[in-house]
Amino acid sequence: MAVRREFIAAAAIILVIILVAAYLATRPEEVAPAATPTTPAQTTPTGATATPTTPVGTPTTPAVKHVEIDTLRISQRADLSSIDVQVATDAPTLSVFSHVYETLFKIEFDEQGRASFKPWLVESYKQVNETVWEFKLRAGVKFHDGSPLTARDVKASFERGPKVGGLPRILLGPVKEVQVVDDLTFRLILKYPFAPLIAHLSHPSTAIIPAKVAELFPDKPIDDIKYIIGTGPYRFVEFVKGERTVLEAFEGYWGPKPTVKRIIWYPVPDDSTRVSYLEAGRADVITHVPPHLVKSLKDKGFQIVQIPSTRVIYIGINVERIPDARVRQALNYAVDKNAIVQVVLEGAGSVATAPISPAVFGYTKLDPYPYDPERARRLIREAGWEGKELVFITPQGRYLRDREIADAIKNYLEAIGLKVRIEVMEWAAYINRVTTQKDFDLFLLGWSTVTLDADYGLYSLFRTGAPFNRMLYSNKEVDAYLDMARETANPALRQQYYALAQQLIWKDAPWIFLHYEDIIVAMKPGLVKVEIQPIERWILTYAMLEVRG
Amino acid sequence: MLLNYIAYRLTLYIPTLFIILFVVFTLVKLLPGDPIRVMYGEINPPPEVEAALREKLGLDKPLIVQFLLYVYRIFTGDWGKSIATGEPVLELAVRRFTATLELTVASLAIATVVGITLAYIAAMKPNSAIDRLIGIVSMAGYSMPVFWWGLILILIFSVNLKLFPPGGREGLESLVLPALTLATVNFGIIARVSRAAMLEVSTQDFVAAARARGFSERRVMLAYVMRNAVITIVTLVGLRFGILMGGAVITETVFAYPGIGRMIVETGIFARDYPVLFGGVVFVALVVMTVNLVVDILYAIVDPRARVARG
Repeated sequence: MAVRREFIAAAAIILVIILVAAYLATRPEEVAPAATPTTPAQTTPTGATATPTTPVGTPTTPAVKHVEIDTLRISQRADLSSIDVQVATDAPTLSVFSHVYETLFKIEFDEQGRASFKPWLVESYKQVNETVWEFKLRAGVKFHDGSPLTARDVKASFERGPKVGGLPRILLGPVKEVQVVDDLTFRLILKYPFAPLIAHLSHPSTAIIPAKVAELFPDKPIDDIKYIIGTGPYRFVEFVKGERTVLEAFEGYWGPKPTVKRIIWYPVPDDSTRVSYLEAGRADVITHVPPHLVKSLKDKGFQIVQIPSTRVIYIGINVERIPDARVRQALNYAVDKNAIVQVVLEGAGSVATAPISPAVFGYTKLDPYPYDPERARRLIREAGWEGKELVFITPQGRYLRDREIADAIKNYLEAIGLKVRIEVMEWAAYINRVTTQKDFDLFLLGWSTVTLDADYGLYSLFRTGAPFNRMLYSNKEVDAYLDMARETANPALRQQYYALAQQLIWKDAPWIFLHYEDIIVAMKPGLVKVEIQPIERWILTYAMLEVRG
Repeated sequence: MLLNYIAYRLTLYIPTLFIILFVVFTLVKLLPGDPIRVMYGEINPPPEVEAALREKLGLDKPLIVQFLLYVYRIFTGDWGKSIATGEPVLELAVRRFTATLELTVASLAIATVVGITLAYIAAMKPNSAIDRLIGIVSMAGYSMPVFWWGLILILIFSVNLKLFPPGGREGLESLVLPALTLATVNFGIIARVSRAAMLEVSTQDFVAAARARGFSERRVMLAYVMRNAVITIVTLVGLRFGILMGGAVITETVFAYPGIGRMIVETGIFARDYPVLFGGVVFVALVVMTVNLVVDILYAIVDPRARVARG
């Protein structure tokens, strides 16, 4: 009896603590830091601030001035997954490396978030013929170890990349040979005409590393941070796994001088803790803000940047197990994509209007399949698929609310008369199964077209036999358009081919087309010129602090 | 006598370690997934890289050879390097373990002091109102879900009061909140068990005899009851210590604390960084076994019966 009474009393105490703590924790006052701007500034989504004028900055009004920053602290969800820029594929790692390494071309975004490519380490270039391009490197560029950048470094980087990394292998796949002409001049000889070349040369996986590092690790990832040597505005100075990564401005940088001296990256896996880092003033910028905390952060005066990313989330359909296009279309009609975005994602996304995102060259706006369970049921009946069981595999914790999305989809599909068996898997086991086995009907994945050219988002995923065509989809017509688009130089023509290919893919429905994920980043008040790119990359090099008076 | 006992315990150490190595090895082999694939995300790694790494890790050899090789390397101190970052695993494990050790010692120190004090007060007046109250508080403590309690402490002491950092590991102040979180869960168990132990001892004849001699209640409690209850308490604290050494993964995650538990789970399991996984688990197993050994020896020192029993 006494035990039971104690138990009830203990439960009561916990309840009281919960209530008191919840009250304390959500008390609104005394949170707004001193320098709060009167209106939480909605920073320009894509920044486009790569060229600061003077170190002091140009004041927009006489009362406001921009000052340089000594140490900027940013907290991401994940730690570096690899210390080798040519091996890494994930956004958190490539964001860090985008400060350390540089590419031949640089992506810039306009106000609408459209990308363009600007020669960067390259000063000038010309296309000699269909398959030969000649580039001239910028003179006076130095690596962090003081050695000058030469054409030999480019050759070594491009030869090593495909041997160690999956991304360089795709991005540099069309390159047959790198010919060094002189110290600063080189030629790329292609296997076939390849229009998206410049886009590929702007991706961090094609960044230039010193030839001597490439020679030390010709076929395996580098194994010590002392080999993290780039030409970028920051030197890599410290990496304590699970604790922090520290970058320091590189004195010998050839480009505009960074306005931030030191950047410290803290990996904080727990969403709520990461938000606390910002609120407690331990981080100035945090990424992957959970959507349900956006409002409270805004109310407390923090800046929120929310923009659509280039990542599309889809349910791949195993076309060999579901060969009937009517069934695949039915799956698309059965799912209310709007509801998923509004309810499951709490608005942190937008319904997909193509297999690639609007920021990508080649994007063609298509009409999403309307939510029409009646029609879906009819198509399923016509195809004779009523009551069939589908095996649906999904990862958990890889994408925003992935598991919850899968559950919602299961319910939608069961509502049209199918049976669905969900198998939730932890990422490592999941990616292995998706890649090596075909014992499932549906799978949830995301794909970010990080080159911002449709070739990477369409060719690699939808062409017959392409490496990431995990749906085993095959349509000769689509193949033909994708082939022509990659070999044609004329952008207008390419756009047309991609439009045709996307229309066919949309109709064939090898995916349940879902949504584009939003990027949500929060910053302390007064921080400006942080560039948030839709490819999930955050550039802090030219950030400044806005000070009044 | 004592030396004999220690020798006897040491001979058990080796086969236990061997069994642990075997279990860890087998379990890891049963894990689906692959370190290279994880590193490459949605992209397929180049086949040469996979093949080269497999060879380097010895994954291309027969299982029994892999196992023997693995045991050999563990014993010769070659624990390998992290696949993702190239860091030597032994160094990594030692660093991460130091962090865990700090956290464990800090939290258990708080929990033990608070727990025993409460138990002492409760055992002085069993079934009184104060005893009940302590019972309730203890139960509330160890029923607290750590991830939630940790976040609440962060919100109160870090976000609102700005007293301590919300996470990370920079200086002693970042130890406060995670240590408090773990202490909350542990003091209750220690208080409950210690109280029970003290009450049990106080019904013994020698305690009644002490009382009959007219010793003060304080002296009876400290010199007779506590002295004997300590055996149970040492065992319990040792066990809790062993458990916490494995890393308090949830607490470490909430506080972004770089302990060994998170290393094993995030790097070892999620990223399938096998050398880190093996190294981390074996390291923890060694430490826990050693702690248990020390506790048993302490036990033998505190309670001579324990050595006699083994002859």
